[in-house]
Amino acid sequence: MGRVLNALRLPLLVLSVLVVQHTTVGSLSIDNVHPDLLLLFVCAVAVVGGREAGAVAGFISGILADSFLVTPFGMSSLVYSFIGYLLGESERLGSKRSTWLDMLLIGIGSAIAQILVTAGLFVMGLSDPLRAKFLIEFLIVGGVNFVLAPVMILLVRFSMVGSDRHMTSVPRR
Amino acid sequence: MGRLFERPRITVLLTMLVSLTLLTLNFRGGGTLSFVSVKGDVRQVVSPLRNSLNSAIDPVANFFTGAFEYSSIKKKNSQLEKEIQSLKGDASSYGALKNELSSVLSLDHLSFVGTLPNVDAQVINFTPSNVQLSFEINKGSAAGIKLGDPVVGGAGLAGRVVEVAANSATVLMLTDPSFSVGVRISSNGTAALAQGQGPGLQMKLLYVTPGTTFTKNQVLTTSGLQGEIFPAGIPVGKVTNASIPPGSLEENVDVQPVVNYASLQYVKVLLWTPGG
Repeated sequence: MGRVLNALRLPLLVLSVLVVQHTTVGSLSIDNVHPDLLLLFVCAVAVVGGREAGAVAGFISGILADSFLVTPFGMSSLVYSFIGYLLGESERLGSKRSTWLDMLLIGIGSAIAQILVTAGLFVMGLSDPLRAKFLIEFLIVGGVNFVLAPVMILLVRFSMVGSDRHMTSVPRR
Repeated sequence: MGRLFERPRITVLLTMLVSLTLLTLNFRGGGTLSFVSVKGDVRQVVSPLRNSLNSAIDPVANFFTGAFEYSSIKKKNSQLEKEIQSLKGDASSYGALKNELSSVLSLDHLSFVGTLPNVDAQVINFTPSNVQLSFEINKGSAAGIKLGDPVVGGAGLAGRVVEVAANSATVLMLTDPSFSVGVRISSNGTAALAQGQGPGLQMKLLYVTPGTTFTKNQVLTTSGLQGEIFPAGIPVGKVTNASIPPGSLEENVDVQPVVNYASLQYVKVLLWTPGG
Protein backbone atom coordinates (compact mmCIF):
# COMPACT_ATOMS: atom_id res chain seq x y z
CA MET A 1 0.00 0.00 0.00
CA GLY A 2 2.83 2.32 0.98
CA ARG A 3 4.64 1.57 -2.27
CA VAL A 4 1.50 2.36 -4.26
CA LEU A 5 1.08 5.69 -2.48
CA ASN A 6 4.75 6.48 -3.07
CA ALA A 7 4.37 5.70 -6.76
CA LEU A 8 1.33 7.99 -6.97
CA ARG A 9 3.11 11.00 -5.50
CA LEU A 10 4.83 12.13 -8.69
CA PRO A 11 1.80 11.78 -11.00
CA LEU A 12 -0.26 13.66 -8.40
CA LEU A 13 2.36 16.39 -8.28
CA VAL A 14 2.40 16.83 -12.07
CA LEU A 15 -1.42 16.93 -12.10
CA SER A 16 -1.41 19.53 -9.32
CA VAL A 17 1.17 21.63 -11.16
CA LEU A 18 -0.94 21.41 -14.33
CA VAL A 19 -4.08 22.49 -12.50
CA VAL A 20 -2.31 25.35 -10.72
CA GLN A 21 -0.75 26.51 -14.01
CA HIS A 22 -4.21 26.72 -15.55
CA THR A 23 -5.96 28.48 -12.68
CA THR A 24 -5.70 31.97 -11.27
CA VAL A 25 -2.13 31.39 -10.08
CA GLY A 26 -0.92 30.51 -13.57
CA SER A 27 -2.78 33.50 -14.98
CA LEU A 28 -0.76 35.90 -12.83
CA SER A 29 1.79 37.69 -14.94
CA ILE A 30 4.77 39.98 -14.74
CA ASP A 31 4.76 42.49 -17.58
CA ASN A 32 2.25 40.26 -19.39
CA VAL A 33 4.58 37.23 -19.14
CA HIS A 34 3.20 34.16 -17.35
CA PRO A 35 5.27 31.84 -15.15
CA ASP A 36 5.69 28.34 -16.61
CA LEU A 37 5.22 25.96 -13.69
CA LEU A 38 5.23 22.80 -15.84
CA LEU A 39 8.65 23.75 -17.15
CA LEU A 40 9.78 24.38 -13.58
CA PHE A 41 8.54 20.90 -12.66
CA VAL A 42 10.49 19.29 -15.53
CA CYS A 43 13.71 21.11 -14.62
CA ALA A 44 13.30 20.20 -10.93
CA VAL A 45 12.73 16.50 -11.73
CA ALA A 46 15.82 16.53 -13.96
CA VAL A 47 17.97 18.15 -11.28
CA VAL A 48 16.70 15.81 -8.56
CA GLY A 49 16.18 12.60 -10.52
CA GLY A 50 18.77 12.75 -13.29
CA ARG A 51 18.72 12.39 -17.07
CA GLU A 52 16.23 9.58 -17.55
CA ALA A 53 13.69 10.94 -15.08
CA GLY A 54 14.14 14.40 -16.62
CA ALA A 55 13.51 13.13 -20.14
CA VAL A 56 10.40 11.16 -19.17
CA ALA A 57 8.99 14.00 -17.01
CA GLY A 58 9.71 16.39 -19.89
CA PHE A 59 7.86 14.22 -22.36
CA ILE A 60 4.77 13.77 -20.19
CA SER A 61 4.67 17.41 -19.07
CA GLY A 62 5.15 18.54 -22.67
CA ILE A 63 2.21 16.44 -23.86
CA LEU A 64 0.08 17.92 -21.05
CA ALA A 65 1.25 21.45 -21.88
CA ASP A 66 0.45 20.96 -25.57
CA SER A 67 -3.02 19.77 -24.64
CA PHE A 68 -3.85 23.24 -23.36
CA LEU A 69 -2.22 25.30 -26.06
CA VAL A 70 -2.89 25.80 -29.72
CA THR A 71 0.75 24.99 -30.42
CA PRO A 72 1.40 21.86 -32.54
CA PHE A 73 1.07 18.63 -30.54
CA GLY A 74 4.57 17.36 -29.75
CA MET A 75 6.41 20.70 -29.76
CA SER A 76 6.58 21.17 -25.99
CA SER A 77 7.23 17.46 -25.33
CA LEU A 78 10.17 17.51 -27.76
CA VAL A 79 11.76 20.55 -26.13
CA TYR A 80 10.92 19.61 -22.54
CA SER A 81 12.29 16.05 -22.83
CA PHE A 82 15.51 17.43 -24.36
CA ILE A 83 15.84 20.03 -21.60
CA GLY A 84 15.01 17.40 -18.97
CA TYR A 85 17.78 15.17 -20.27
CA LEU A 86 20.23 18.07 -20.57
CA LEU A 87 19.64 19.31 -17.01
CA GLY A 88 19.75 15.70 -15.79
CA GLU A 89 23.38 15.63 -16.89
CA SER A 90 24.00 17.55 -13.67
CA GLU A 91 23.75 14.19 -11.88
CA ARG A 92 27.35 13.70 -13.00
CA LEU A 93 28.34 16.49 -10.61
CA GLY A 94 27.36 14.22 -7.71
CA SER A 95 24.99 14.83 -4.84
CA LYS A 96 27.08 17.49 -3.09
CA ARG A 97 25.86 20.31 -5.32
CA SER A 98 24.74 23.53 -3.72
CA THR A 99 21.12 24.67 -3.82
CA TRP A 100 22.28 27.80 -5.60
CA LEU A 101 23.70 25.72 -8.45
CA ASP A 102 20.43 23.79 -8.74
CA MET A 103 18.45 27.05 -8.81
CA LEU A 104 20.77 28.46 -11.45
CA LEU A 105 20.49 25.31 -13.56
CA ILE A 106 16.69 25.44 -13.36
CA GLY A 107 16.57 29.16 -14.22
CA ILE A 108 18.90 28.79 -17.22
CA GLY A 109 17.21 25.55 -18.34
CA SER A 110 13.79 27.22 -18.25
CA ALA A 111 14.99 30.19 -20.30
CA ILE A 112 16.62 27.86 -22.86
CA ALA A 113 13.45 25.76 -23.12
CA GLN A 114 11.40 28.92 -23.73
CA ILE A 115 13.86 29.98 -26.45
CA LEU A 116 13.72 26.52 -28.07
CA VAL A 117 9.90 26.45 -28.11
CA THR A 118 9.85 29.93 -29.69
CA ALA A 119 12.48 28.83 -32.22
CA GLY A 120 10.49 25.68 -33.03
CA LEU A 121 7.33 27.72 -33.57
CA PHE A 122 9.32 30.11 -35.76
CA VAL A 123 10.51 27.19 -37.92
CA MET A 124 6.87 26.17 -38.32
CA GLY A 125 5.90 29.73 -39.19
CA LEU A 126 3.83 30.22 -36.03
CA SER A 127 5.88 32.76 -34.11
CA ASP A 128 8.34 35.55 -34.59
CA PRO A 129 11.29 35.24 -32.17
CA LEU A 130 12.31 38.82 -32.95
CA ARG A 131 9.10 40.30 -31.61
CA ALA A 132 9.52 43.21 -29.26
CA LYS A 133 9.32 41.42 -25.92
CA PHE A 134 10.93 38.06 -26.61
CA LEU A 135 14.04 38.73 -24.51
CA ILE A 136 11.93 39.90 -21.57
CA GLU A 137 9.84 36.71 -21.81
CA PHE A 138 12.89 34.44 -21.56
CA LEU A 139 14.33 36.46 -18.69
CA ILE A 140 11.09 36.53 -16.71
CA VAL A 141 10.33 32.81 -17.21
CA GLY A 142 13.94 31.91 -16.25
CA GLY A 143 13.96 34.37 -13.35
CA VAL A 144 10.64 33.25 -11.87
CA ASN A 145 11.62 29.59 -12.13
CA PHE A 146 14.99 30.42 -10.51
CA VAL A 147 13.15 31.95 -7.54
CA LEU A 148 10.56 29.15 -7.27
CA ALA A 149 13.15 26.39 -7.76
CA PRO A 150 13.77 25.58 -4.04
CA VAL A 151 10.04 24.99 -3.42
CA MET A 152 9.64 22.78 -6.48
CA ILE A 153 12.84 20.86 -5.67
CA LEU A 154 11.46 20.13 -2.20
CA LEU A 155 8.14 18.94 -3.65
CA VAL A 156 9.86 16.77 -6.24
CA ARG A 157 12.23 15.29 -3.64
CA PHE A 158 9.23 14.46 -1.46
CA SER A 159 7.44 12.89 -4.42
CA MET A 160 10.42 10.80 -5.44
CA VAL A 161 11.30 9.46 -2.02
CA GLY A 162 11.36 5.68 -2.14
CA SER A 163 11.39 5.73 -5.90
CA ASP A 164 14.26 4.10 -7.79
CA ARG A 165 14.14 7.17 -10.04
CA HIS A 166 15.55 9.23 -7.20
CA MET A 167 19.00 10.30 -8.17
CA THR A 168 22.04 8.40 -7.08
CA SER A 169 25.32 10.09 -7.76
CA VAL A 170 26.97 8.92 -10.95
CA PRO A 171 30.73 8.88 -10.87
CA ARG A 172 32.40 10.85 -13.65
CA ARG A 173 33.91 8.41 -16.12
CA MET B 1 29.75 1.55 -27.71
CA GLY B 2 28.20 0.57 -24.37
CA ARG B 3 28.16 4.19 -23.23
CA LEU B 4 26.46 5.26 -26.43
CA PHE B 5 23.51 2.96 -25.78
CA GLU B 6 23.12 3.57 -22.05
CA ARG B 7 19.51 3.68 -20.79
CA PRO B 8 19.00 7.45 -20.28
CA ARG B 9 20.18 8.14 -23.83
CA ILE B 10 17.85 5.55 -25.29
CA THR B 11 15.00 7.01 -23.21
CA VAL B 12 15.56 10.57 -24.36
CA LEU B 13 15.96 9.43 -27.97
CA LEU B 14 12.68 7.55 -27.73
CA THR B 15 10.78 10.46 -26.16
CA MET B 16 12.17 12.88 -28.75
CA LEU B 17 11.38 10.46 -31.57
CA VAL B 18 7.78 10.09 -30.38
CA SER B 19 7.49 13.88 -30.05
CA LEU B 20 8.87 14.39 -33.56
CA THR B 21 6.47 11.77 -34.93
CA LEU B 22 3.53 13.55 -33.23
CA LEU B 23 4.75 16.87 -34.60
CA THR B 24 5.12 15.49 -38.11
CA LEU B 25 1.68 13.85 -38.03
CA ASN B 26 0.22 17.07 -36.62
CA PHE B 27 1.94 19.29 -39.17
CA ARG B 28 1.53 17.16 -42.29
CA GLY B 29 -1.82 15.61 -41.45
CA GLY B 30 -3.63 18.94 -41.86
CA GLY B 31 -7.32 18.42 -41.35
CA THR B 32 -7.30 14.64 -41.75
CA LEU B 33 -5.36 13.81 -38.58
CA SER B 34 -6.79 15.48 -35.52
CA PHE B 35 -5.33 15.63 -32.03
CA VAL B 36 -8.22 17.75 -30.89
CA SER B 37 -10.03 14.80 -29.31
CA VAL B 38 -6.93 13.94 -27.23
CA LYS B 39 -6.62 17.57 -26.16
CA GLY B 40 -10.34 17.72 -25.41
CA ASP B 41 -10.12 14.60 -23.25
CA VAL B 42 -7.22 15.99 -21.18
CA ARG B 43 -9.09 19.27 -20.71
CA GLN B 44 -12.25 17.40 -19.74
CA VAL B 45 -10.33 15.57 -16.96
CA VAL B 46 -8.63 18.69 -15.62
CA SER B 47 -11.60 21.06 -16.00
CA PRO B 48 -13.51 20.18 -12.76
CA LEU B 49 -10.31 20.34 -10.71
CA ARG B 50 -9.40 23.65 -12.31
CA ASN B 51 -12.81 25.17 -11.66
CA SER B 52 -12.92 24.18 -7.99
CA LEU B 53 -9.33 25.33 -7.41
CA ASN B 54 -10.10 28.60 -9.17
CA SER B 55 -13.01 29.34 -6.87
CA ALA B 56 -10.86 28.54 -3.83
CA ILE B 57 -7.85 30.52 -5.01
CA ASP B 58 -9.55 33.61 -6.44
CA PRO B 59 -9.93 35.47 -3.10
CA VAL B 60 -6.31 34.69 -2.13
CA ALA B 61 -5.02 35.74 -5.55
CA ASN B 62 -7.02 38.96 -5.35
CA PHE B 63 -5.44 39.64 -1.95
CA PHE B 64 -1.90 39.18 -3.33
CA THR B 65 -2.68 41.16 -6.46
CA GLY B 66 -3.79 43.96 -4.19
CA ALA B 67 -0.64 43.65 -2.08
CA PHE B 68 1.85 43.47 -4.96
CA GLU B 69 0.21 46.12 -7.12
CA TYR B 70 -0.53 48.47 -4.27
CA SER B 71 0.91 51.61 -5.86
CA SER B 72 -0.84 51.16 -9.20
CA ILE B 73 -4.08 50.26 -7.46
CA LYS B 74 -3.77 53.37 -5.30
CA LYS B 75 -3.25 55.47 -8.42
CA LYS B 76 -6.20 53.88 -10.17
CA ASN B 77 -8.27 54.36 -7.06
CA SER B 78 -7.73 58.10 -6.93
CA GLN B 79 -8.44 58.29 -10.66
CA LEU B 80 -11.69 56.39 -10.15
CA GLU B 81 -12.69 58.61 -7.25
CA LYS B 82 -12.36 61.63 -9.53
CA GLU B 83 -14.47 59.92 -12.15
CA ILE B 84 -17.10 59.07 -9.56
CA GLN B 85 -17.28 62.72 -8.50
CA SER B 86 -17.87 63.91 -12.04
CA LEU B 87 -20.41 61.20 -12.74
CA LYS B 88 -22.29 61.46 -9.47
CA GLY B 89 -24.89 63.87 -10.79
CA ASP B 90 -26.30 61.71 -13.52
CA ALA B 91 -25.13 58.22 -12.76
CA SER B 92 -27.33 55.44 -11.58
CA SER B 93 -25.77 52.33 -10.19
CA TYR B 94 -25.92 49.14 -12.11
CA GLY B 95 -25.55 45.71 -10.49
CA ALA B 96 -23.17 43.08 -11.78
CA LEU B 97 -26.08 41.08 -13.15
CA LYS B 98 -27.36 44.01 -15.13
CA ASN B 99 -23.89 44.57 -16.62
CA GLU B 100 -23.69 40.98 -17.63
CA LEU B 101 -27.15 41.11 -19.15
CA SER B 102 -26.34 44.22 -21.12
CA SER B 103 -23.13 42.66 -22.43
CA VAL B 104 -25.16 39.70 -23.67
CA LEU B 105 -27.85 41.98 -25.12
CA SER B 106 -25.24 44.11 -26.85
CA LEU B 107 -24.29 41.06 -28.85
CA ASP B 108 -27.85 40.90 -30.21
CA HIS B 109 -27.71 44.26 -31.91
CA LEU B 110 -24.41 44.15 -33.76
CA SER B 111 -24.91 45.94 -37.04
CA PHE B 112 -21.80 44.37 -38.56
CA VAL B 113 -23.07 40.82 -37.98
CA GLY B 114 -26.07 41.39 -40.26
CA THR B 115 -27.85 38.20 -41.22
CA LEU B 116 -24.87 35.91 -40.72
CA PRO B 117 -25.74 32.78 -38.72
CA ASN B 118 -24.02 32.90 -35.36
CA VAL B 119 -23.63 31.25 -31.97
CA ASP B 120 -23.39 33.07 -28.63
CA ALA B 121 -20.70 31.76 -26.29
CA GLN B 122 -19.18 32.59 -22.94
CA VAL B 123 -15.47 33.17 -22.42
CA ILE B 124 -14.38 30.58 -19.85
CA ASN B 125 -10.62 30.92 -19.68
CA PHE B 126 -7.72 32.97 -21.01
CA THR B 127 -4.81 30.65 -21.87
CA PRO B 128 -1.86 31.49 -19.60
CA SER B 129 0.76 30.99 -22.29
CA ASN B 130 3.66 33.14 -23.45
CA VAL B 131 3.85 31.65 -26.92
CA GLN B 132 0.27 32.02 -28.06
CA LEU B 133 -2.46 34.44 -26.98
CA SER B 134 -5.84 32.77 -26.94
CA PHE B 135 -8.98 32.22 -24.91
CA GLU B 136 -11.45 29.39 -24.52
CA ILE B 137 -15.19 29.58 -25.08
CA ASN B 138 -17.88 27.21 -23.82
CA LYS B 139 -19.29 26.19 -27.22
CA GLY B 140 -17.73 23.86 -29.76
CA SER B 141 -18.43 21.67 -32.75
CA ALA B 142 -21.70 20.49 -31.13
CA ALA B 143 -23.00 24.04 -31.64
CA GLY B 144 -21.80 24.13 -35.25
CA ILE B 145 -18.55 25.99 -34.62
CA LYS B 146 -15.73 25.06 -36.97
CA LEU B 147 -12.08 25.98 -37.49
CA GLY B 148 -11.48 29.49 -38.78
CA ASP B 149 -14.84 30.94 -37.72
CA PRO B 150 -14.60 34.67 -36.88
CA VAL B 151 -15.36 35.63 -33.27
CA VAL B 152 -16.74 39.06 -32.37
CA GLY B 153 -17.23 40.84 -29.07
CA GLY B 154 -19.63 43.74 -28.45
CA ALA B 155 -17.31 46.27 -30.08
CA GLY B 156 -15.82 44.31 -32.97
CA LEU B 157 -13.51 41.50 -34.00
CA ALA B 158 -12.14 39.45 -31.08
CA GLY B 159 -10.29 36.67 -32.95
CA ARG B 160 -10.78 33.48 -34.88
CA VAL B 161 -11.37 29.88 -33.88
CA VAL B 162 -8.16 27.83 -34.07
CA GLU B 163 -9.22 24.69 -32.23
CA VAL B 164 -12.58 23.03 -31.75
CA ALA B 165 -13.63 20.30 -29.31
CA ALA B 166 -17.20 19.08 -28.86
CA ASN B 167 -18.13 21.58 -26.14
CA SER B 168 -15.35 24.14 -26.22
CA ALA B 169 -13.23 26.04 -28.70
CA THR B 170 -10.00 28.01 -28.60
CA VAL B 171 -9.94 31.50 -30.08
CA LEU B 172 -6.71 33.15 -31.24
CA MET B 173 -6.62 36.78 -30.09
CA LEU B 174 -5.93 39.73 -32.37
CA THR B 175 -2.82 40.61 -30.40
CA ASP B 176 -1.13 37.24 -31.08
CA PRO B 177 1.93 37.67 -33.36
CA SER B 178 0.61 35.02 -35.75
CA PHE B 179 -2.73 36.81 -36.17
CA SER B 180 -3.23 39.08 -39.15
CA VAL B 181 -6.35 40.52 -40.75
CA GLY B 182 -6.98 42.55 -43.90
CA VAL B 183 -8.47 45.96 -43.05
CA ARG B 184 -10.08 48.77 -45.04
CA ILE B 185 -8.91 52.35 -44.44
CA SER B 186 -12.03 54.49 -44.63
CA SER B 187 -10.21 57.74 -45.51
CA ASN B 188 -9.12 56.59 -48.98
CA GLY B 189 -10.71 53.15 -49.31
CA THR B 190 -7.40 51.29 -49.63
CA ALA B 191 -6.64 48.00 -47.89
CA ALA B 192 -3.81 47.13 -45.48
CA LEU B 193 -2.87 44.31 -43.14
CA ALA B 194 -3.17 44.60 -39.35
CA GLN B 195 -0.89 42.24 -37.45
CA GLY B 196 -0.66 41.35 -33.76
CA GLN B 197 2.62 42.06 -31.97
CA GLY B 198 2.36 40.09 -28.75
CA PRO B 199 1.13 40.48 -25.17
CA GLY B 200 0.47 44.04 -24.07
CA LEU B 201 1.41 45.49 -27.47
CA GLN B 202 -0.77 47.20 -30.05
CA MET B 203 -1.28 45.83 -33.56
CA LYS B 204 0.83 47.20 -36.44
CA LEU B 205 -0.54 48.17 -39.82
CA LEU B 206 1.46 46.78 -42.75
CA TYR B 207 1.42 47.46 -46.51
CA VAL B 208 -0.08 50.92 -46.10
CA THR B 209 -0.35 52.84 -49.37
CA PRO B 210 2.12 55.77 -49.23
CA GLY B 211 0.39 59.07 -48.66
CA THR B 212 -2.51 57.60 -46.70
CA THR B 213 -3.64 59.95 -43.97
CA PHE B 214 -4.89 58.77 -40.61
CA THR B 215 -6.75 60.51 -37.83
CA LYS B 216 -6.53 59.52 -34.20
CA ASN B 217 -9.19 56.96 -33.19
CA GLN B 218 -10.02 56.28 -36.83
CA VAL B 219 -11.76 52.91 -36.90
CA LEU B 220 -10.44 50.24 -39.26
CA THR B 221 -12.80 47.52 -40.42
CA THR B 222 -12.22 44.12 -42.04
CA SER B 223 -11.73 44.47 -45.78
CA GLY B 224 -13.59 41.34 -46.87
CA LEU B 225 -11.50 41.13 -50.03
CA GLN B 226 -11.73 37.94 -52.10
CA GLY B 227 -10.00 35.14 -50.22
CA GLU B 228 -10.19 37.05 -46.96
CA ILE B 229 -11.10 34.87 -43.99
CA PHE B 230 -13.36 37.46 -42.31
CA PRO B 231 -16.58 39.05 -43.58
CA ALA B 232 -16.34 42.72 -44.53
CA GLY B 233 -17.18 45.61 -42.25
CA ILE B 234 -16.33 44.25 -38.79
CA PRO B 235 -14.52 46.88 -36.68
CA VAL B 236 -10.97 45.69 -35.91
CA GLY B 237 -9.19 48.51 -34.16
CA LYS B 238 -8.64 52.22 -33.68
CA VAL B 239 -5.58 54.09 -34.93
CA THR B 240 -3.68 55.40 -31.93
CA ASN B 241 -0.53 56.62 -33.61
CA ALA B 242 0.61 57.19 -37.19
CA SER B 243 4.00 58.56 -38.14
CA ILE B 244 6.67 58.19 -40.80
CA PRO B 245 10.02 57.33 -39.19
CA PRO B 246 12.98 59.34 -40.56
CA GLY B 247 14.46 57.65 -43.64
CA SER B 248 11.49 55.34 -44.12
CA LEU B 249 8.89 55.31 -46.88
CA GLU B 250 6.32 53.33 -44.99
CA GLU B 251 4.11 54.76 -42.30
CA ASN B 252 4.33 53.34 -38.79
CA VAL B 253 0.73 52.90 -37.68
CA ASP B 254 -0.32 51.52 -34.28
CA VAL B 255 -3.78 50.05 -33.93
CA GLN B 256 -5.55 49.35 -30.64
CA PRO B 257 -8.07 46.47 -30.93
CA VAL B 258 -11.62 47.73 -30.33
CA VAL B 259 -12.35 44.71 -28.18
CA ASN B 260 -11.29 45.07 -24.56
CA TYR B 261 -10.11 41.56 -23.63
CA ALA B 262 -9.93 42.41 -19.93
CA SER B 263 -13.71 42.73 -19.77
CA LEU B 264 -14.67 40.25 -22.47
CA GLN B 265 -17.30 37.87 -21.07
CA TYR B 266 -19.52 36.92 -23.98
CA VAL B 267 -18.75 36.61 -27.67
CA LYS B 268 -20.54 35.73 -30.87
CA VAL B 269 -19.05 33.12 -33.19
CA LEU B 270 -19.97 33.82 -36.80
CA LEU B 271 -20.68 30.62 -38.69
CA TRP B 272 -19.15 32.03 -41.83
CA THR B 273 -17.40 30.29 -44.68
CA PRO B 274 -14.85 32.33 -46.66
CA GLY B 275 -16.31 33.04 -50.07
CA GLY B 276 -19.68 31.79 -48.84
